[in-house]
Amino acid sequence: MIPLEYELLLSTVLFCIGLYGVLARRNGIIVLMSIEIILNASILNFVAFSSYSGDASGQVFALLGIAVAAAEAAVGLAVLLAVYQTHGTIELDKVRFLKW
Amino acid sequence: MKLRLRELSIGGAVIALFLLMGLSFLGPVGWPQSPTPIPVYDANATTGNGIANELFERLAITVILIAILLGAAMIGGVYLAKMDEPGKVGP
Repeated sequence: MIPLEYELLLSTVLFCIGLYGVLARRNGIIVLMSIEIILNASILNFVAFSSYSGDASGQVFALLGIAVAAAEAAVGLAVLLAVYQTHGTIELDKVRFLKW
Repeated sequence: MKLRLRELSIGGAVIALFLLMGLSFLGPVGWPQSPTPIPVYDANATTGNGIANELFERLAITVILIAILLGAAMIGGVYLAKMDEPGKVGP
């Protein structure tokens, strides 16, 4: 049996990896993947607390969170594709959306 | 050099945050010790004992809204990614 602390630590590791990716990397796809990692960390927390507290609500919210993550990935990739078509790059520091 | 300094400072901040969170998790907190099995569907339950019971009884409206969200995201993704001519995005 895995203690709850280990699952929380794993979730923390995932969250920190995702946070580093969002803050430090400039490639749009890597930033999008990092946001997905952060979402997975929160989903892991939902499942862990749900399993240890005996309440099914957390696992239901994990399912709903997976659906939201899928929708976010679809729209995010489409936006990045559109940005690449108009700007020729997905480096987020080189893209100026407000520049005419 | 400036880029390297930025990444290093972000890495240091993230490591500090990880240590803070990890120590708070490993501290004297009364976490539950053993997991409780949760059935996928409990036919005898009035509400709230199984995942399917929660999903399709208490949160049925949420499931419908998520389905609409997924459909809208799919349509919006295709709309955004559609390119008829080079350099022009959208229909």
